[in-house]
Amino acid sequence: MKISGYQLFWLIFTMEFGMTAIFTLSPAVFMSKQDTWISIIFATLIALATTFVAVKLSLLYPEQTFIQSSQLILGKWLGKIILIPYFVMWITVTGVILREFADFVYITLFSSTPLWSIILIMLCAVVYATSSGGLKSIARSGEIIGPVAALGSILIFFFSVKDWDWLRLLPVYSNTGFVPILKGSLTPASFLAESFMVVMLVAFMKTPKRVMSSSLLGVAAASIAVLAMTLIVIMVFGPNLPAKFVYPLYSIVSYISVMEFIQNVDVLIVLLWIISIFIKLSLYMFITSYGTAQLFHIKKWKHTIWWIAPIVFILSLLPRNTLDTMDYAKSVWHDVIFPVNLVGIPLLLWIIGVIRKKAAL
Amino acid sequence: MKHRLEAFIGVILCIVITTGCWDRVELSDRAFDLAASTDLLEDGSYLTAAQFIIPSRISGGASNGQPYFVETGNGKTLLEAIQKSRQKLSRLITRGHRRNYYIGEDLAKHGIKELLDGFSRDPGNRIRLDIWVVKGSRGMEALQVHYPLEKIPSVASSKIHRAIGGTTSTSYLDFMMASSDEGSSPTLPVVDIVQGASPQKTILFYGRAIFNHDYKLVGYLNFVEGAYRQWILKRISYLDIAEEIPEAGGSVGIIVNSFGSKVKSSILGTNKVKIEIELTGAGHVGENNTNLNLNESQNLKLVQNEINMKTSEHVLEMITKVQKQFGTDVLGFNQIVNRQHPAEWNKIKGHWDTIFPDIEVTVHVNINLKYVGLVGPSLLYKESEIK
Repeated sequence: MKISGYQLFWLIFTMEFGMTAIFTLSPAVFMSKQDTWISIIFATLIALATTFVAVKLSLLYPEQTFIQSSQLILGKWLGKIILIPYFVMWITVTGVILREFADFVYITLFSSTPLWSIILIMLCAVVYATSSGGLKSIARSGEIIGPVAALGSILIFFFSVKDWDWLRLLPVYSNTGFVPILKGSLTPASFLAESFMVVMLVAFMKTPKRVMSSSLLGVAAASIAVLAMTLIVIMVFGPNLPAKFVYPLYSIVSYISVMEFIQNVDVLIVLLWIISIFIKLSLYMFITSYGTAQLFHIKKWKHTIWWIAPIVFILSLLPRNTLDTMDYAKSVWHDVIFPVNLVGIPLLLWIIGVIRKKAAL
Repeated sequence: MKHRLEAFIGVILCIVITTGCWDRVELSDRAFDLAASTDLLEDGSYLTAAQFIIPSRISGGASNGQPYFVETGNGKTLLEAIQKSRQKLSRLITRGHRRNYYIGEDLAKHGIKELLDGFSRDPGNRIRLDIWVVKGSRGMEALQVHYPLEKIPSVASSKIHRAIGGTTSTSYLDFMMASSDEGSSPTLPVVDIVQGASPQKTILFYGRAIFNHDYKLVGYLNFVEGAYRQWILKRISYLDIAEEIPEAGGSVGIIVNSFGSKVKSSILGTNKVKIEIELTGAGHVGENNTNLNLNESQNLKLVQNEINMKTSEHVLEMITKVQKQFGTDVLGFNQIVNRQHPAEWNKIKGHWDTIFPDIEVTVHVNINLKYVGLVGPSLLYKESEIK
């Protein structure tokens, strides 16, 4: 189960781009209107910084996953306690993403298909990818799917050229201000910072040296794609409307009309979304199951999938409506997980780890 | 081969779950709604009508009858009215191809606030939509017009709009953007149902309907006025202008086909704004009813200056009409001030409605005539009469 730097790049790009572009633009534009592109640049910087910390942290012990290295850094018991918020995060976020995916497909495509069947089909695909070859098969699908996702976003970009109005980006800064722009950047940043999961992947790299460049490039590429989508959304819909759409990017794509014959291409964005979600869910599934196995010293890690998959399935059926999953993204992910799990603890662990290594020398 | 059992179960599961699509609706179970309308009835309820394709009549050369029909329903809200019309339809309404929506004048005057939300909320609807106000008539009448050039008559209005140099399919989105913007007021394109040369009635592209902040119709701009407005907003591709040239005792008509617009704003103190508009264009002479030889450069310059001056006056008249008569900013002045003087805009945006009617506007039109056509002087005149 070894992956290359190239595969890591596509994994990170694919899993970050789809979710961020679909989900975070609406709250970001709500805060920072036509200056959302500045927010996205801020968000990129935040995400690059958290990724840098995550990679540095995992390179302290490049052979170990986060489960092992946290115990090496903090000691056996404290190291295990600090892992609890991560397992809670991994399991809940997998369930919520699964539900968000199903809701989106339900709203846009299949409004009479039962929700559980959409969830179950996706879950089966995820379980199959994870259990058949673990990270290796996920990485290989990422290698194929990633370029498709990138191509899809380039197509959206060019299809919408005709509807752009550059003036809608003006005036810069003066209608919003520094605080709204910074606030607007937090939601995209919290999604882009999911690249934190490299702490679990570094142990599987063929050449750990390439982790830094691959993951930073992956985050940067995803951010550039999100930035392009942000510009499109504002240049087509203006500074006020995107905040009112639940999925502004989907509405943009359904608005596309090229030469009066390329129309109704909303399936394109649904496809992008589905494949991006697939990679993300598979990665979370792998991390959760492999991590669980390592934590409890289970020899065959694949067996844990059969426990985790049903839990995730039930979790995904719990939210009563789309507002509940939105609430999770807002109040749990954005307010707790992002500052604690993705920024605070990694930074703390890295500092302690560096000090301990120096002390050991 | 170890995983034979798992693979087998997997395949069976796939077959069980994915056969038979829950959402399958065959083409023969769909009614394609190509255009729809809503009107306000006297009792305050909504009347909605939609034009549906009759698929069996649309294909094949020899047509026996119209390839469409109109179905109606009425109710307290739009959705209830649609429900009533669904009670008469044997198929499911599919709106993926709908491009035009007509609103009767009564409804437009009453306000269309309650109508607009559904267009963007329901994913079955398209945002790429033109909403039309039907001048002096009901929206449903626009659906009933039999337009001879198009198989499905409802596409006529947007095709007319495009053919005469406007932008199509963006009026719904433009309306929403203008409504959500501080200071500006929304507009919609207008069609009129007129008696054509034939016994049937036909559709005429009339111009632009002006709405206020409560989404109520306050007035119309006619075609030329609407075109001037589009010129200021850079949304135009074709315009004919004919003006009297008093020095030559006749009129000259020109065709403009490339357009530019520069709007400059300045703040002249508290609540006093000045807007300078410079409209540029390039075109050619379409008709010359004077005795001027347009191959002479001073004659061409005379015509050009005269047309520029007169057009400037007309554009200013249109702007004054909007300012004084309607008092609603449909010219994008709020955005101009916002972009050029962002700091001042933050102070005055709250009472833009009181500032707008008193804005001092200057208009300067500068059309460059590039071609005079195939003849210099008009062929009518004798050598001695030509100047």
